[in-house]
Amino acid sequence: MKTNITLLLFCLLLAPFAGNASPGQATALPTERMLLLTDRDVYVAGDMLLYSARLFNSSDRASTTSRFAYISLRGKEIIAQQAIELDNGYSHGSMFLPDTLSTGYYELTAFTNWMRNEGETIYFRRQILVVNRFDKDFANISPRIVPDSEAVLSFFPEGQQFVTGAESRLLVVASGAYDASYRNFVVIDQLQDTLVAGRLNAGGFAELSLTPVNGNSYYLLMEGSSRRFQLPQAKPSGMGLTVKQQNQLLLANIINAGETSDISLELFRQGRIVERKSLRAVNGNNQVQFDLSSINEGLIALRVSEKGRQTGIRWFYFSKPTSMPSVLSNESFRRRDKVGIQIQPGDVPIAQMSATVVKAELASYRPVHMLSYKAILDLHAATGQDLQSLIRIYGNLDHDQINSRIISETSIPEFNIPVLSGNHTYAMEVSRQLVSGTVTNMETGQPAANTRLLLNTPDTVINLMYTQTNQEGYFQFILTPYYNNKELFVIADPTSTSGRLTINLHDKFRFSKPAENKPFPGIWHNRNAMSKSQEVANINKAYQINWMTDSQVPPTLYFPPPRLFSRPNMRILPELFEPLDDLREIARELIHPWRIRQSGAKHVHSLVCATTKAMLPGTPMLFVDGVAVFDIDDVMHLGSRQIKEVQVHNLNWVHGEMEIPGLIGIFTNTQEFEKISYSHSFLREFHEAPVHPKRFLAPVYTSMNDHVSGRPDLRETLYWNPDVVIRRNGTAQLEFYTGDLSGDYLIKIEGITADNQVFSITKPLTVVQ
Amino acid sequence: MKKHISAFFLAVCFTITSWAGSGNLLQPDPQIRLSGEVFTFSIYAEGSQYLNDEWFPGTVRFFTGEEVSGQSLKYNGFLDELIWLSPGFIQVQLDKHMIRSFTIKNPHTEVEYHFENITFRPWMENTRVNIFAQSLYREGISLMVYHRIRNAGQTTENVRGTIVSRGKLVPDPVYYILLPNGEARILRNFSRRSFLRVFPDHKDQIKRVFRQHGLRIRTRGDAVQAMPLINQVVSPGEL
Repeated sequence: MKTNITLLLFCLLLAPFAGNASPGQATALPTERMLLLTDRDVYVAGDMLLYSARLFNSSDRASTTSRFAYISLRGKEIIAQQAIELDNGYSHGSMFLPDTLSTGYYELTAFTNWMRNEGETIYFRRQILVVNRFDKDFANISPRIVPDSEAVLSFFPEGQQFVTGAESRLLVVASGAYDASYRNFVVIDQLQDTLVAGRLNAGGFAELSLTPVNGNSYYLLMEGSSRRFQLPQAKPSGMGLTVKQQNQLLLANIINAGETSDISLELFRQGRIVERKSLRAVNGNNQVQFDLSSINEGLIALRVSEKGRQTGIRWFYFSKPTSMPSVLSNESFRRRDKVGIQIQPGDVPIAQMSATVVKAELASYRPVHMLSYKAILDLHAATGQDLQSLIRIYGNLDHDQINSRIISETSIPEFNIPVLSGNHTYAMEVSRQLVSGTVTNMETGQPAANTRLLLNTPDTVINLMYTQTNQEGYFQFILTPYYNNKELFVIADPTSTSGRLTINLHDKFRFSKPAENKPFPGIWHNRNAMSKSQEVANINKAYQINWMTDSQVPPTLYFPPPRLFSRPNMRILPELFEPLDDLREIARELIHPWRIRQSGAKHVHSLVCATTKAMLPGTPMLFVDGVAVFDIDDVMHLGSRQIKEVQVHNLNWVHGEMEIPGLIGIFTNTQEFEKISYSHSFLREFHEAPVHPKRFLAPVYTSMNDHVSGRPDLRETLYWNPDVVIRRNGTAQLEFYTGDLSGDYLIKIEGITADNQVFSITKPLTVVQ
Repeated sequence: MKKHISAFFLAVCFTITSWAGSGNLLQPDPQIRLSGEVFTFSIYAEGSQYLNDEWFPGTVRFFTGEEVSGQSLKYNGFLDELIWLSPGFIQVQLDKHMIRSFTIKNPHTEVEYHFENITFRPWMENTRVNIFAQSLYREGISLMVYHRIRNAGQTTENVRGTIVSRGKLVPDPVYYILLPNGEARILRNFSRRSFLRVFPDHKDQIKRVFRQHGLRIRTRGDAVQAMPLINQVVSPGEL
């Protein structure tokens, strides 16, 4: 027996150590990143914004860790907020843009509870433009008109060195308040001879090739600007570098403008050197190639060093030349014409795919697609740059454009794989939504440690969950779907603490960073398109046209409550008896096991046990309409008129670690829980359920009558299918009808292959008269 | 030795529970809890009122779909109740109407017992019976065993000059064939005849299939083996 006890004590002593893998340890935990794709960039107030949301992990692969994500739309204040449920890291939905929104830029933000640990800088944030139907002045949404003297152009030679004697590539980037998008330019030399002509793109950058001559100066002249922008002076000696990808090979050309020299080339991937080569570089071009077949897709850096000193660096986004899915479709259609789009898989089958067909001028300002987002995540990890700025710069670029724009990145090739430290406050919502917060003592301001918190919601059954605060006064509840769209009462159990407490919930939608308000480049050129959209919105409003409909799968509305007991020992319906004025009378006359007596100015109560017939030790738990009340004097006034039913469970009850000397549930006709002035510390908060996605239901024109129907079809988003059905042979077929609006549209197909590679395909489609 | 192992197991259980509570960095421990009345029942008797005298580790599943695992449990066959040892070392008779099923595992033999909370109507009766029954074979037509422990009689004895009566508790398992319509038929003993008696309309087919498979029913194992054949022969719609 002694040995038994010793053994038991030994094991019990060990127990606390086993629990020490607690928050605070620096463990490599997964990180998450969200991507939100919208059907367009520009909306009219009253439109429905359609989105799909995807979760990535730290290695920019599709992630399935968190099950819930949060989306908000905000300007100066939050306009709309939603919780969505992810299915294998993917979901889609819609958000109504209220009619009353004023014209301006609004920011869409997407994140998971787990992402909150890393701060708002890693939230997915992107702008949309909302135009009010009645606004005719678009001056406030256009880039500020600034004098061309404020135009700033920067030049970045590829490989950082601009050397004479060989063709070099230069990246021209416009920055600052001056909107240089879509500006034509020419490069001249000091003799005014035009050498190169080009055009800055929507993002305000362009790449140009030039073979500089020693001693010459070069200038860029930009349309709309009277300034001359001088290009950097080409050096007569040095090592220029150009890089291009050819299948699995990276071809580097070292342009040595000086004498023969020994140089080394190091290829970096994720901060590690994956290959090193030495080269005797002779004057002129020196070709080197790197085999990338064993390297994973992603960001790489090639560093050139001469005598141990770095002379140049070139970042490059390497993507495997696998065959991606292809889109087969005619380009031109008539109004109300049937469109068939065939999607063929590439080498690898398609796992999931979404498709959008939308008016081109509403979707070309600041979009982001999956392919570019993958590069953005890599760049964010490699250079530590702000995710939002990277989305702004790289969001709309294809593979070649990314590799052109990336020339401006000259930071050292370090790669910071995001590692979440142990100091995380917010848990990952892997199966259920969480509500977390802190409890502090009102008088001392100190965290209230080890305080038991109860969670109730008003209902016709007694429901209870509870948890305990940790040393920092922190708590969290895992909510079952029962709490969806219900009012939560978080109550500090006065038997586990003393003094008045303040309970604060962590508001998932509280942001410290203001919403970005940067005008879309080139928006001024498309003001006519916005005016047309306003007219379309007016007509849709007049005809009450709405293309959204409820999902075919109805939401599950009933979830079982977390009951304290299955059925009470006694049920009393006071209304069946003579009217009684208060609880004391009701207890005395109708509920014999319930004893209420006065003790000084207060009342105390107890229950007689149903099985032992002895008085249960302690005060029973009292609930009014499902909400716990700890002081019977708070509800003593309730009489037969208010009370519908009293449930008595007079047993020595155990619920987890809680011992409860009986339970009394009072259910009222008059929602008395609203009127009680509770003497204990509590917090009341509404819990919004994750939204159920709606379907986009485009019209079908099968008969001639449909074609001439008087009802206008002014869809600017012609087609939206966030989850395209993939056939058994791996292909997919999209079928829809064009509307009455002629013009240019974009077919955007985005998805993920079975080997977790993302793809984004954009094709034009025209609707003619 | 058994007691040693039992004490060790109890401590390990406690250790695991405390680790799970504080070490899960991705999601806190679930806040689903067991509920019931403090268990104070005792009977002066020879024999045990429990199927398992030791605390076996087990999992309890609720009708809500939630489950709580790593709990110390005993099945009381005399009262047909599940007894739980709470973290405060209080014995609790769990609220039966909240439990859909539970599984307990003998740590010495690794044998698992899966019990279900079933409500059925005995054959030719109108009342409904609600019991925890161990499922031996679960399909359309199932074989369940109710691990009943009954008082087989009283003996009187003189304890320090006082005459006291003492019960004699004996295991008395009852085997049920549970039909898809919620009706249950008692399997009186392990024999072909008892099966034929349960399915009088399918006598010939059952006889034939038993003969084809050379199945003689002498033990519980044989009865379990017979169940797939019964399910093959008797379609639920015919009952």
